[in-house]
Amino acid sequence: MRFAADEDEVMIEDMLDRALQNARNAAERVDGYAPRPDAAALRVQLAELGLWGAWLPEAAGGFDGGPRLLMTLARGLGRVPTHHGLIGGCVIPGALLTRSAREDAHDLAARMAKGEIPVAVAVMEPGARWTRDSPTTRAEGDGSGYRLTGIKSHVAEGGTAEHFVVSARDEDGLSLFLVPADAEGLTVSTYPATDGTTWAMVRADGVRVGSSARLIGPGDGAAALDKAFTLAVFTAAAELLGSCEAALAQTLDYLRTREQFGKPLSTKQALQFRAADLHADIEMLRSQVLGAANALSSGYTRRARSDVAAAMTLAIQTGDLVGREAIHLHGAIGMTRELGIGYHLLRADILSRWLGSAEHFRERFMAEEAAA
Amino acid sequence: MNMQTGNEAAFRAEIAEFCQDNLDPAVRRQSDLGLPLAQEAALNWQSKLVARGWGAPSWSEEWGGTGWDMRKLFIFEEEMAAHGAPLVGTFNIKMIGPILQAHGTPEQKAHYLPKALSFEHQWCQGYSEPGAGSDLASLQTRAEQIGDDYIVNGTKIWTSEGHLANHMFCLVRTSREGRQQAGISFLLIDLDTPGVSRRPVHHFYGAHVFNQFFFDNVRVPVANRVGEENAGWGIAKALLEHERLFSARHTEARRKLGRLERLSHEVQIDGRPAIQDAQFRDDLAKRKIELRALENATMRALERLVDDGGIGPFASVLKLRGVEVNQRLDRAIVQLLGPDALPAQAAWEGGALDGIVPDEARNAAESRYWWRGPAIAGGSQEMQRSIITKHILNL
Repeated sequence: MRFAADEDEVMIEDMLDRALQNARNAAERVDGYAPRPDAAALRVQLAELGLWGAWLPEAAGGFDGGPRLLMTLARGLGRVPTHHGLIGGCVIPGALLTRSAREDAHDLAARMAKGEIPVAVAVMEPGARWTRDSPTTRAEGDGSGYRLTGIKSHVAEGGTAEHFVVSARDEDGLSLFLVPADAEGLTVSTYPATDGTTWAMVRADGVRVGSSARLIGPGDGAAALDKAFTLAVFTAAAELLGSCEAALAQTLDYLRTREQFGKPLSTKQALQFRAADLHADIEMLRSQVLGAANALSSGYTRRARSDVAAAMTLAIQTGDLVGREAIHLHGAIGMTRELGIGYHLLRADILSRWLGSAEHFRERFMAEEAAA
Repeated sequence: MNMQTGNEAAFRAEIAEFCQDNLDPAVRRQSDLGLPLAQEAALNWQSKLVARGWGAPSWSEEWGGTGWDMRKLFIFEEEMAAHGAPLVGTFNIKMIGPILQAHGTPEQKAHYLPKALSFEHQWCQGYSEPGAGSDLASLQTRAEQIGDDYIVNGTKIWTSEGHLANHMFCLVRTSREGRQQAGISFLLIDLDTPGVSRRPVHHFYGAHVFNQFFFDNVRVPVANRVGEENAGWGIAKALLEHERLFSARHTEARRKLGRLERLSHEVQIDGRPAIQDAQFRDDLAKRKIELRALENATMRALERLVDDGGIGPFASVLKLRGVEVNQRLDRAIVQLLGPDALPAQAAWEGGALDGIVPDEARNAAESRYWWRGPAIAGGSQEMQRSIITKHILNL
C-alpha cells in the first residue's frame, strides 16, 4: 500500500486545489468576517467536477473512490474556511443510506453526490456525550408502523435537511428510521455553533412513521452507526490535516513579511523553532492519516478502526496546537475575525466536541488494540 | 535480488528462522532490555551473520554484502530487531564500510573492508572535539604533511565505544584557508600508533560510555587519507540515505513499548494490573499512537527513498520526533516501575533483588539517562529544527 499520492490522485488534488482557490478568491467579506466561500455553491461545483460524492458507491452516484479519495477531498476542504457540510451532510448520511435496502435511500444518496444535503443524522442525545449505541428515544409499534418519542441533540446540518435519520430503540434493539423533517410531532430548533455553523435540536413527540421508515436495524443498527461514524472521524482527521497545513502556511507567510525590531519575524530563532515543531507534528499527523486511509482501504478491520482512532487523536492534538500557535504567532491581528486565522482553532474544537475528544479516541484505540 | 510484495513474508520468515536457530536467548533478552552486549557475544553474533552472508547487508556483494535493494535492507533490519537480534559493530558496518566503498582507494578497500567485516578491526568515530560540537566544522585537530606522513595533533571527545576500538576514522584540519568546511580531511588512524592516548569519560549515571582521545605528534601515513585532501567534510556528511531511514529509531522504540506492555500486566496500581488503571491506559495509548505515527512516517520515508533515491530533510523530522518518542517511552517505563527502578545496574549482580524486583526493571533507569544523549548527538534537536526551518519551511 502506497503513502504518496499516485498520478490520478495528484490530478484530483490539483483540480480540487484550483476549484477551492477560485472559490476562495471569489468569496466576499460578509459582516466583517474574513471571506468564506458560499458552501452550497461550492458543493455543487465540486459535485460537477465529480469530487464531492466520489467516495460513494457507483449505485449512489459516486465513483467507488474509497477512503483515499475521501481523504483528498476532506484535506482540501480543510484548507479553506467554509461551512462545507461534508461530514454531517454527506459522509454520515451517505454511509448509512447506502447500507439500507430501502429503494429511495440510494436516490437520496445520489442527491448528496450532487452536492445537496437532503438528510441529516440525529443520533446524539442529551447527556450521552459520544455514546450512540443506547438511545433513550423509543420506537413503539403502532399498527403497521412506529411511533417515535425522544430528544436528539446537536444535529449537524439539521437546520435545512428534508429528512432525519433518527436512532431509536424498540424491544429488538437499535434501529435507524428515516423521518421527514415536516412530520407531525417533530420539532426542529436550530442554534448557531461557535464557528458560525447551524446545528439543530430535534424533539420527537410520538411521531408516526410507516413500516418502511426503518432504514437499518434492529440487528445491525449499532454496527452501522459505528461504521458511519468511523468514516466520519477519518474524514475529520483528514480535514484537520488540511486545516493545519493551511494555518501553518498562512502563518509562515506572515512571519516572512511582518517586521519588528527592524527585521522580519521569520529571522527570530524562537519563532523559527516553534514553526519547525508545528511542521514536525503535522508530518506525524499526515503519516497517521495516510496509514488510516490505507488500512480502511483494505477493509473495515480492527486495525483500520485503531488507525482511525489514532489519526483522530493526533488530529485533535495537532489541530488544537497549530490553531493556537497560528493565532499567537500572528500577534494581535490573529485575534480578529477580519483576519480569520482563528477559524482553524474553531474548527478543530467543533470537530472534537462533536465527534469525540482525544481522550475518547485514545480509549477507542486501546479497546480495538486489546481485542486484536 | 529485489523485494516484491509477494516474497516479503517469505523473507521475514527466513529471518525469523535464522534468529530461532542462532540467537542465544540470553542475548535476545539483553537486546529487549536495551543492555549493551559483551565483546565476545558481539563477535560471536557477527561471525554467525557473516557465515550466513548477512554480516554487512548494505555493502556491495564484492565485499561480502548482499546487493539487496532499499526495501529489502529495511525489512531485514526491522525484522532482526523485532526478533531481538543485537545491532553490533555499527561503526564498522554502517559507517566506515560504506564510506570506504564509496571513496576509498583499491588498496584501502582490500586492506580494511575484510577486517571491518570480521571485526578484527573495531572502528570508532573521531568527529567531535571539546570546542566543536554542533558546530563541527570548527574542529581544530590538525594534520600537517611531512614527507609521506601526516603529523596529527589535537583531541577528540565523546567517542562512543572508543575504549573497545583499535581504529578510528576521523576528521582533521588540513587547511585554514577559505570556508572552515573546505579545510577538513578524512583520516584512518591505527590507535596503537605512538602518541595516541585515551581516557574514559563516564556518563552521569556512572557507566563508561564515552572517551577522549589525545594525539601528540601522531604519524599517520598519507595513504590513510580517504578521498582528496580537504574533501573530508563531504565524505563524512554523506551518511547513507538508507541509514537516515532509521533516524526515528522506531525499532528501539518498539522494543521499549514491548517492555512497557509486558510490565503493564505485571505491575499493579492500587491492587489491579496497571493496564486497568485509567490514567496509565491513557498514557500507554499516547505512547502507542505516537509510535504508530512514527512507524508510518518511517514507511513514508522508505517509499520516498525507493522512489526518489533520498529522503532529504525529512530525516530531520524523523530524528526530532523519534528521539522524543524513545525518551517518553523510557520515562513511562520508569514511572510504571516506581520504586523498582531504584536499583543501579550493579545491584543485579549482588543477589539482593532476586525474586523481589522484576527482571523487566533492569536497565530501565539507565536507558532513560542514556537516551538524553541522542537528543544532543548527531545534530542536536535544535540543529534538526534549524534544518527544517531552512530547508523545508524556507524561513
